[in-house]
Amino acid sequence: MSICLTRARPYAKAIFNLALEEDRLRLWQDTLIGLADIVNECDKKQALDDPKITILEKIKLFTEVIKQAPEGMVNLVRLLIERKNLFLLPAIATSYRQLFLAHNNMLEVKVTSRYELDANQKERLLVALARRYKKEILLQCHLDATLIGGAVVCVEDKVIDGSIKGMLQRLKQDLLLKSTYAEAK
Amino acid sequence: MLKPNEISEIIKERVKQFDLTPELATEGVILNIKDGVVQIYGLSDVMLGEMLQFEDNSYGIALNLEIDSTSAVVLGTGEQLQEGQKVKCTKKVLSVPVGEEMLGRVVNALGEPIDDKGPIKTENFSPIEKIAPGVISRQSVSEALQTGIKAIDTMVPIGRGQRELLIGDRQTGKTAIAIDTIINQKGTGVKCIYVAIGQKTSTLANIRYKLEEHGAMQHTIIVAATAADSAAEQYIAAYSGCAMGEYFRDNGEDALIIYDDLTKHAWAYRQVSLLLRRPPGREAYPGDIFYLHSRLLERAARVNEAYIEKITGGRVKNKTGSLTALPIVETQAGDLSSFIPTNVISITDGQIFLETDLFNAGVRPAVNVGLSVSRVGGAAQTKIIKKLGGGLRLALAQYRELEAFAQFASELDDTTRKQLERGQRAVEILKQARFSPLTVAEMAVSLFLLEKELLLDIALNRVAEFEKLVHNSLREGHQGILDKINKSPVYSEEIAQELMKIISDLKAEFVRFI
Repeated sequence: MSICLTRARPYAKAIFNLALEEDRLRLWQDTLIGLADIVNECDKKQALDDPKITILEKIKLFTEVIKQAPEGMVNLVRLLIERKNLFLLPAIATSYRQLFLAHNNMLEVKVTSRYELDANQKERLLVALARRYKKEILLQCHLDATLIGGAVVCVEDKVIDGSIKGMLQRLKQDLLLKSTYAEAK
Repeated sequence: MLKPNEISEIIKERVKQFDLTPELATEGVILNIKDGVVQIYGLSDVMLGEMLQFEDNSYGIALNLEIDSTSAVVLGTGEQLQEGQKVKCTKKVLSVPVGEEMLGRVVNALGEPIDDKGPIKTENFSPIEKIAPGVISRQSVSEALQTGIKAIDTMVPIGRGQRELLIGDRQTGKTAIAIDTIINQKGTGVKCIYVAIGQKTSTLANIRYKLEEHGAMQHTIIVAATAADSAAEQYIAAYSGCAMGEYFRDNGEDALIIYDDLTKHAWAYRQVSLLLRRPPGREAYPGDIFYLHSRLLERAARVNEAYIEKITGGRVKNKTGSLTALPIVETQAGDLSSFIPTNVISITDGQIFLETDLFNAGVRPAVNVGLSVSRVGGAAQTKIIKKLGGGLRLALAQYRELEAFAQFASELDDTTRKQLERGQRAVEILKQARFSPLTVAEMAVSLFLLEKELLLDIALNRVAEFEKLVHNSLREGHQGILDKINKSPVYSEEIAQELMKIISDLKAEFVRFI
């Protein structure tokens, strides 16, 4: 995944700059996500690597999505096919989304909780996170019964673990003999 | 023995003290794992050398920070690790326990005991990677570190805070010298750390047994990363040992560390580096192989009083500290000019070169005097040894030159023959058995025999016997003079006359019995 992202980043940056010039950021994002979905579908993925299928035929796979897409999109798909980089599309979409969010001063936050959060809880979470990160927060809520209680908040790769499961795990570690080298002051 | 209700009480206390505030951590995901190297996605703010915690509570060290991923080495087997598992940053760099409590113990590269003697109760921890003391903190080497080996203490003296390389082919007695040196530190207050890197576990067990047998374990820590341990552990063991030695240095004590051996350390680091996909250089070693050893050996130093006072916060005053390093490097077929030997030779303050030919000829320790040198130890040598052994190096060099003529003994002129005989006796006197370190006084007596030409009329094959006789009778009947020399190792006419008298009597008796 990381290698994909490294290779996808220049593509995403170029597309983003192009979209910015054309002022069609959201349209490009939606199309990219659509294309990424197609690539992610398993049987078509095999077709992507098949040398017997010509470029034109491969492009046809994407016609559905490309129809309403900006003009540059066909060229992008063609370029990726020529470079045998079509598998990068999901990574490009991810990378593009990061740029898109950063541009709009938005932040995606994943909240996993045991029970559904009510409106009040969500509101408090949004206010707290907005104050902390000074960005518009897009909340994505998930449920996970294994947490036992509480919630886990993920902001990019920062994780705030307030779940009962996490606490129990830490308590277990604390009670067991502490590993010598990790306990250095 | 704890009672069940006491255990519950302890657990209750621990649970009560447990911090319940949600934990903020940086997390990543394992992308792939192979050969002890893990690639992790995420961890955007990981530090170089930071400890990473895996899901199975094992640890790793972040060594490569790339744009989208972090590569880390696993400490331990990493058998439980799987792709997709979470990895947490700990915001700590790898630290090992240090302190007096470590003495007498055998620990692994992480400072955990592996000798079945229970946990080590120490409160001090020290990061394994530290920058060596700077110019201002240092003091020049002025005190001798006695190895107890005649050939070394007379011709390649080692000072406290010096770095002296032990180099030679396999089976030339490199480790033997190191072990003898540890044994000789008994009662001198010098703490020893023996770092075994990539050795056979059986060899290590032997070494430990020998140290225990000679009562040298009480002042020694063994840091073991044997051939069965992972390359990452072999790589960090040297730094862990160094951190333990630095503790003594920084507390105004003297310590000695032996790295056995840096060749295998370099191999382990090469393996780790190649698996981390760092570009290989000469002999496939990575580009920073020189820095690997130089930063390690720079930490061996003599530090001044001001530094120690500052480090200990005024707890220890008016004391200097030192960490002497004896790295060992193994050569292949006596090749001193290969990569690792040349690197380490250039880093250290001198080397003791051991030769297979000498070893096989029965000259043990097999020190090649011509190629061995100590660049700073001379200033630290005791006066009496300096006086009596000063000419030895030259005499041996002249002897080596004439050695080829030794076969024409009868056709040689008197001067040459005498020089040859003197040289042969010098070689004979410098031979020394294992596990028999000598005190300064005993060494001085041996050199006295040579210097005053008291051995010329004793058959070559009986020189060792006579030397032993002299030592024994001095120990038995004249301990006073030995004590006097040991207390103030200065050569004086008075001492010379006294020794001469005792030895002349012994010799008369010895020669009569032939």
